[in-house]
Amino acid sequence: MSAIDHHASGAHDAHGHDPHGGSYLTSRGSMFADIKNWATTVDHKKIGAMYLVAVLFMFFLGGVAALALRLELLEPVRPLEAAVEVERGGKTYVYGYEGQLFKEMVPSEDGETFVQSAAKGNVLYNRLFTLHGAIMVFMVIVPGVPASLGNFFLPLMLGAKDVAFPRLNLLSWYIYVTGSIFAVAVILAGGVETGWTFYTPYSTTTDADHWRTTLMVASAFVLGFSSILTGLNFVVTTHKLRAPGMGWFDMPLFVWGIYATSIIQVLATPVIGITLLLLIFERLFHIGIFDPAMGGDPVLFQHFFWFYSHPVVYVMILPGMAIISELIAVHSRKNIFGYKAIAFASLGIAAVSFIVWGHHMFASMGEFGSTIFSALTFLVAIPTAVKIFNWIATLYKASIAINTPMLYTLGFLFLFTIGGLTGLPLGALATDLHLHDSYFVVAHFHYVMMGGTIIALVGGLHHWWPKMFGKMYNEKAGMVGWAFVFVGFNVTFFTQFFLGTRGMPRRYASYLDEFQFLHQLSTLGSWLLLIGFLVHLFNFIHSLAAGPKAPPNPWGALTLEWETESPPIEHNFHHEPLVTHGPYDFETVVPPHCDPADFPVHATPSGGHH
Amino acid sequence: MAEMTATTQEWDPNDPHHQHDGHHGHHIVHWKTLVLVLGALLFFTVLTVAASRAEIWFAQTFDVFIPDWVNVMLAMSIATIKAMMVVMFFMALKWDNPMNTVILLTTIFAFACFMGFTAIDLGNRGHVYDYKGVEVTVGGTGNDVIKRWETQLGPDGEPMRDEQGHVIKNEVVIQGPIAVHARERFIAAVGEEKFAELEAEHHHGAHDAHGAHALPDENHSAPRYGLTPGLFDAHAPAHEDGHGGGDHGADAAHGDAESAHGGAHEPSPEAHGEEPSGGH
Amino acid sequence: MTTLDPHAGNAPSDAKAPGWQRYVPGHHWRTADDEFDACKQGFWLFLATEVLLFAGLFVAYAIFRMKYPTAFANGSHLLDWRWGGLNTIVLLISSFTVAMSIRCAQLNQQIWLRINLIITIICAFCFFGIKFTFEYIPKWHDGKRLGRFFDYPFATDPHEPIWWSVYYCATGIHALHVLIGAGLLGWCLFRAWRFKAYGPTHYTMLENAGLYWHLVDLIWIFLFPLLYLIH
Repeated sequence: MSAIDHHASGAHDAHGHDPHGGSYLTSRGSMFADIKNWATTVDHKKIGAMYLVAVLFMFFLGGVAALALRLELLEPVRPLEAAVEVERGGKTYVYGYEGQLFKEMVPSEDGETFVQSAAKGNVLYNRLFTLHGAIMVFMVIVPGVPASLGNFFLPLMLGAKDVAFPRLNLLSWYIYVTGSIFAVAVILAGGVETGWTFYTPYSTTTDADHWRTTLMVASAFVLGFSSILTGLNFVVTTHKLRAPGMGWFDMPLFVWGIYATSIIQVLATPVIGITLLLLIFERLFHIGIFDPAMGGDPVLFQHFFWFYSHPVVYVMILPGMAIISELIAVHSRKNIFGYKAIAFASLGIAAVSFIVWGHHMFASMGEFGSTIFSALTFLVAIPTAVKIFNWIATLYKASIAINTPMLYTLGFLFLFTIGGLTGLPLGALATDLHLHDSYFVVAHFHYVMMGGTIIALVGGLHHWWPKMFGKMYNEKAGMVGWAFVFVGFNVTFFTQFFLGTRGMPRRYASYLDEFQFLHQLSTLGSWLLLIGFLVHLFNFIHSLAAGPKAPPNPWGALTLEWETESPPIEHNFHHEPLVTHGPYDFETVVPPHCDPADFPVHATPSGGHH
Repeated sequence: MAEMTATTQEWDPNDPHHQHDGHHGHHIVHWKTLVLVLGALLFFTVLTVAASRAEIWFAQTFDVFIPDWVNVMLAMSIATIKAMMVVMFFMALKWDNPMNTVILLTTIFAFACFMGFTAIDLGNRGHVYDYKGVEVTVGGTGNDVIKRWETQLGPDGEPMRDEQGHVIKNEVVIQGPIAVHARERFIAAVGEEKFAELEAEHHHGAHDAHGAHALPDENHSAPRYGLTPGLFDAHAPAHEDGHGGGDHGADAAHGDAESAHGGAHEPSPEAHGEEPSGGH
Repeated sequence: MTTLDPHAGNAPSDAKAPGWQRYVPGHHWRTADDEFDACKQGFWLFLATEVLLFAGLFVAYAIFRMKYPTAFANGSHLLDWRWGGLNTIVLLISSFTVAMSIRCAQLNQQIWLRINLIITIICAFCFFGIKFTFEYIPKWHDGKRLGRFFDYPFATDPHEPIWWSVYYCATGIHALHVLIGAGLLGWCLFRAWRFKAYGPTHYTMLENAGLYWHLVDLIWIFLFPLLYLIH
């Protein structure tokens, strides 16, 4: 699909001398003017970029918590045979355990002797994994792709000037920041120990006299609004702002994925809203709806929670799949195999997501409900497998470019397939009762959430980086970073499958000695991951500071965002684009702004999508 | 939704997706239609109230048992009809872009999934886990502790005041079902005789006990057919049965209340055990 | 919605023209109709989220009614259907007037537009007043309160506090929506009065505020029988 009004685009060449054609990054003169301009902007590109920064910052916070957890798990907490006394500054410190990272020294009766407490260390561990989970889920993975890359590229791919409701878009960013500030305030005040799921009675009884848990719940509640507004905006944008000539099946698959995501966001998020509101009431007024002591039902909370949080698992993964559909076609220069199948699989996943939430609660549900949900859960495998097969079929006999986005795409296929297949034993009722709440579950959802979404996000970030900021990144550094991330990820989490099947429960600060080797391996992997992400970070910073200027279409892609300049101009396009070909017609169409010699058109006999 | 492929030759720059074929969005609803719909809505409101009253009257007068679902189905059907009228005419969905109808139907689908599957699970739990069901189903576990500030009740059941006229409040710790606590502290304040009198008044009488704002016969025009017999009665006859399944709410609640209080509370009088108990 | 790009469109710059004529659609829309349609679709999606927000309360109601039918029957008898019924009628009338006000905007009957909106807002406050004065306050005084505040000595079922929790949460959140709706309609009234902001070619905000108000009505249409009539 190109701005085929060539007669018009001839007048303004690709490197734009259009009077109102300044890039969206162009400075307004003074720093104050720039800050004001960015803080009040309704431009989807700036909002997307601001989301990206905010999400990456929260990813950093959640990552620090994760590294601390892994560090603590380097050694089990063992009681010492004889307590060790250390004199320091006139006070005596008594160490009773070894291997405990989060030491807490509690003054004994005389006030001069401080005794090491394991219980408080455990509380700290609980708080850290709660913060890691809550931040990563509510503040990173859920808004991550749709709000950053989605915000930036959905209107561009549709050929629109902006999203349908630009001011609502800005509002949603501010709501996101407010929610995140709440969460950071909670961290600074000491954190919460409910687990990211806020299960009752943890969330109603822990820290009973403190506001932290209430604020953390309020944070998730507020973030929900941000999610709803973004989703609502994208649905309407997709319906109403497609460029002339772009029918539903001319949309890039990225848009299909984000569209399906948005539907889930709109339909599922309000339920977490009311759940968290009731939870806040429960804490403030003790309304008893989730409290068995008053005749309420904690399992009702779990139903409420997972009615939102299971669909939201697909809010997390569908945008990742959306990115992969895009990357795989562009970087293997082949029409995507089974366009409509992938598009409908996105909607299918969205629909199925609302009827399978029970598989998160097999241990707390009755047998009847469990059986039904277990059977329904396997439905998810169908559209997911359709997508995987289509992607692999796309790779068949394609001209695969080995660059960072493509490596991340291949990494996604590998990791997500493992994540998906290990979901099957968890969805099967019989095996789940053995595996639930073990490290197997931890490994499974990290393979899906991180190996799926985060890997896709980083790949997508590399793919679209030249478009977003107008600079190329260093390809070699990107590939080195990928290698660290890929290896580090597998070392970290593949070991956890073994831990889980051998009976290591999740959310424990200590473990039996026999698990120590695997835990150490896992911690080692987390350091490799850290190195990988740092390489990417420095690569991006270097690119912004000293990277070569990016051409408008470095990958020879056909979707509309590559028709405008890099970075895009303020109003996205010089002229409203008219779409005359599909998004992946690499066999027949010369990519815009590209030399046909670089991206030769060869009509290979593959299934087109029309 | 939209067309499968865009046909560029018929393309209208102001309407690239042929979204304006119908005249949705700007349909002006005739005032007669609106008045008619309002009339119908008011009629159905009266009807649903009348049906509910009539059902009670019927059951009382002819002494027949009408199952719960009759009442529910009737009320919900009428409510659905009313809702459809509001959506179609007041919200003008009848003339609107069909996409908005699709949105509404999708929402109802999600709602139905939510309601349906949650009910499937929670509605079947009692059968599956009888031994657990008892605890959760009846009266709460009684393991809860609620701290709160409470007024001190005088012998008339009203809060006591100190010399300055302030209501006296004490911090109390409630263990066990809060309804039982409220009842017991009231009995402790007013005495059992007065309590029985007030309770009878409340449940069958003409006015609200504290009802400064109350209507003459607010609250209790209907027979309280659904009362659980002997629920608060320390000497409930069913107590000895002991096998307390999920459906025998009364026994287990009583047992819980008693165990939570360690037998410390005074047994309630037999007096209020004589309320009508037709429903079971 | 105000315009994002002052150079777009070709509306009369005459400051004396009524607001609805001076309105310019946002720069990213092809036509005003497109914008209207999109805003309305966006608002329907928002209504979907509202419905699902209340869905939680309806599910809680259903589950606890299923578990504790006696407590819910008792609780239902402690409410007075006459106040509930009166409030239903008040809301239905206000829904009617808000629909009429949109019709008036479409026909450019500015005076009747204002009158209809005023009636709607009065109804909103009537609803709220009735709810508070004749229901919440006496109930609270009786000790029929939610959660830990429960202090009603004549409860005959230990689960009646749950009933009151559901009752207060559902009607309380609904009452909050009534207030928000009244606020939205008040804003519309202000703009209609001050700028004649709504007329045949532009009444998006009024339309959406109306849709919101109808939703508030819809929720009450279900809450009324569930709380007051089913026993």
